[in-house]
Amino acid sequence: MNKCSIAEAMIYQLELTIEDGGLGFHGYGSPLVQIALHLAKRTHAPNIILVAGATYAVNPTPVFLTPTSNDAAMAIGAECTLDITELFDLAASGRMSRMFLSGLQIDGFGHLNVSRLGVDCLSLQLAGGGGGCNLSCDAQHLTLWTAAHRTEIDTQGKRRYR
Amino acid sequence: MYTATDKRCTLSELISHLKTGDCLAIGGGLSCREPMAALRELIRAGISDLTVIGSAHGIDVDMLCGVDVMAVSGESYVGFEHDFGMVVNFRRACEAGQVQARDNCCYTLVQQLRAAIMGLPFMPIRSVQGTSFMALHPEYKPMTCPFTGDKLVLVPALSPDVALLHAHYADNHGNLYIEGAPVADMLFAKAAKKTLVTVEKIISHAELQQKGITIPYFYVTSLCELPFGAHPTSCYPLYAYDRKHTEHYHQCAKQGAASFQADYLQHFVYDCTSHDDYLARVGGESRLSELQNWQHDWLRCYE
Repeated sequence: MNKCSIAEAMIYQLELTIEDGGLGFHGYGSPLVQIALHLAKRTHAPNIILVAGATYAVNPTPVFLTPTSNDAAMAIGAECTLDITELFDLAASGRMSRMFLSGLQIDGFGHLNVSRLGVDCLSLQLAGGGGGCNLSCDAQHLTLWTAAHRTEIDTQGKRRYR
Repeated sequence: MYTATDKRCTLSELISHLKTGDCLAIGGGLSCREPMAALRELIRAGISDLTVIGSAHGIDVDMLCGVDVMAVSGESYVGFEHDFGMVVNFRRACEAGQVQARDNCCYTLVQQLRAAIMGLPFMPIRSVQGTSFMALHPEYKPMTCPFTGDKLVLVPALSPDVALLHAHYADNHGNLYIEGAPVADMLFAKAAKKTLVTVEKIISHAELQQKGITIPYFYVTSLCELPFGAHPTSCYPLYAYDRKHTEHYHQCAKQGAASFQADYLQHFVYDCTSHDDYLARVGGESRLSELQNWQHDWLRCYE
C-alpha cells in the first residue's frame, strides 16, 4: 500500500486544482502551494505561466526549496522576471488565473483573518496578509488552503498555527 | 532632485538625514537585501516615532520593534515565513500598544506610491472592497466610476519622507545598480522625498553603465559604501542569507524583551564601534567567506 504524508497529499490535492495555461502565482510562506504549482507545471500543466512569489521569477526551475521565498535559489532557470508592479497589474487587469491564500482563521464563507485576534483589545498580532487583500479580489480563481488543522498538539495541549 | 556630483558620505552622515517622526520606506524584502547596517545605525542614533512602510519584511522591521523606534507599522507582512514563523518583537510591540499596526496590502501600497510618483492625489483600485481594510484605513474612499459605473476604492498618494535602500553597486554620482528582485525599491526611490542608500561597492560610472542603471542618480540624496551592509539578509550574488545568525536573533527575541536587549541588541548593535566591528562579531572573515561562496554548497546555507 502506498503511503504519503499529509503535506504530500495536500500538495497533490492543490495540484489537481491547477489547469493548464494562464498565469498561476504563489505568494511567500506557502511551500505547499509552491510545490503544487511546480508539480503541475512539470506534469499536466506545462503551459501555465508560473510566477514565484517574492522573486517574481517566471517559470523558474529551482532544484530545492528554501525556507524563505525571496531567495535567488527560487529564481534559478527563470525565463524572465517581473516586478511587484507588473505582477499586481496583471492581476488587477484580470490576467492572473490562479492564486492560493490561507489565514489563521477561515470561516465557512471563505473569509480569512490574517491581521489580528481581538476586536476591541488586541490579543494576537498576526504577520499580515501581504497582497492577499488585493489578489482575493483580482485573481480569477482562488483556492483557500490551510495546514493548521493538522498541526500537532503542543505540550500545553494547544494547536500550533503556522 | 539631487544633483550633487559626489553623494558619498559616512554611515552616520547618511542616517542624519532621517528625523524622529518620519515616514520611512525600507527597501528589500523578507530575507533579501534589507539595509540592515543602516537600521542598526538608526537605532544607535536614537531616532524614534517612525512610521515604517513596505511590502513583505522580516528581521528589519522586527528589530526596529525590539527597540522604541517605531510608532506605526504600515507593512503588508512582517514575519519569518516557514523559516522561523512569526516574528516576536513585532508581535510584542503591537500587542503592548507600543506600535500601531496599520497593515497595508502590496498593490494598495504600489498604487499609493505610483500616485506620489505621478504627482496625483490618489489612485483607484478595485480590490480591498468587502474587507476590514476599509475600516482600518478610513483615508480610503469609495467611488463609482463615471465611465463604467464600477465600484472602486481611491487610495491616497504616499510619499515617504525617506526611502532607505541597500544596492549592489553605485557610482559617486548616485546612480544605482540592483541585481535580482528589486521588490519595491524603485517605487520607493521615485516616491520618497529623500533616498538614502548603502551600497556594497562604489565603482566608476563606466563600469556601472556596463551593468545597467536601475535607479538614476537624481533620486538619490546620499550614499555610503558598506560591504555586507545587508547582513544577515542576502545580497545575491555577492552573499547568501545568514540563516544561522537569523536563528540566533530569533532565539534571543523569543526569550523576552529584556533578554533581546541584553543578548542581541547590546552585542550586535549598541556595542559595535563600527560596521567592521559588527562583521567581526558575526563571525568575521570565515563566516563571511562561507556566505560569499554559497555556490559551492548552497544547501549548507539553510542548515
